[in-house]
Amino acid sequence: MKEADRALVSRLRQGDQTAFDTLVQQHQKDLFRLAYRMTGNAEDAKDLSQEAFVRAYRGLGTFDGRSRLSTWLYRITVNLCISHLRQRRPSDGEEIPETHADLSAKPLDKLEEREVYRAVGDAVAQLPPQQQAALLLRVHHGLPYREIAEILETAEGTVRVNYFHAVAKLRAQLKGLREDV
Amino acid sequence: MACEAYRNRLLEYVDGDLAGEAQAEIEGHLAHCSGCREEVQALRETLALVARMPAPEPPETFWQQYLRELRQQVAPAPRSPRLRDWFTIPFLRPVPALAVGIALVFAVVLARQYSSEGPPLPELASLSATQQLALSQDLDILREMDLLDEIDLLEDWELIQSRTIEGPRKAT
Repeated sequence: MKEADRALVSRLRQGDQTAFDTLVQQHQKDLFRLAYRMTGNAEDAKDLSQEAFVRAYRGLGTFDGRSRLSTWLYRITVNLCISHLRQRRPSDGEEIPETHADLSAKPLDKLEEREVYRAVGDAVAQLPPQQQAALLLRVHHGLPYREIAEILETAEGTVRVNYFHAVAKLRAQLKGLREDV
Repeated sequence: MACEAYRNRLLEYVDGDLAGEAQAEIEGHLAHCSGCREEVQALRETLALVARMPAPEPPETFWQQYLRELRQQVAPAPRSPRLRDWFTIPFLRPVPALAVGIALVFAVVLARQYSSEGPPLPELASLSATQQLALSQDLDILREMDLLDEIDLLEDWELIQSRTIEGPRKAT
């Protein structure tokens, strides 16, 4: 754990209200964006990222300090998002709502850029949650495999495989979109 | 080496995870393999699409509200006064524990004394002959059931019974 994290955690454990504000302000955007990209919904992203802060605050006693504070916060957020996605996703046999992920078969040159990114978002949303998390933490948050493995509480090799499969699926699914942007 | 062996490492190459000899090896292959070059291009474009996925940029007022809500969520709930609080004087907090301890010791001593003596017997003189007979019959039943064999009361009862049958002894 970094020295700054250690000092902040110490202040939090002493009940310092300004330390909680600092914790939130330091990490709110990262957690919100991660939750948004995983859920595709701003309201869910707000609720889930806030819940992550609340759980972190209440679970300070369980934070052993072996990982960085940000790693711990990402872990709580990802777990909440994965749990949320599992509840939200249609079960087997249920009709899957139409998304823009299949638009690669349509004339893409007429798509607006906004629609293209909506299609990308839909394609990412269809990935299994572990692949989705590995991809987003790698691409958007620039984290090394080792830290992603800590966040997802899995082996580094598993993260590499999940990331590889996520990119391979998107590469095939977004084939028509790639030349469009 | 066949393309397949390189394909599995192209993503690492695109990500910049390879260095030194491994990187040079891939670049050597790419120099003369158009298929793998196209694959590298496809991976770069795919990752670029993902990297450019937009996320909302909420205004500062959103974050202010966000923090306000969080403060409320983690604030300790106001504690309703409990009965105990009415009787607790802060600087005397050790006293209730001591009082409870003394009361417990006192209760244990009393209980032991009471159990060794047994309940007080009714005054025989205050019972009518009919009551004494009824009592005798009840205790006979209990005796037959071997329930009271070990109870000292039975010894007292022998005395009661003999008095009932023989009548009160005259004082000499």
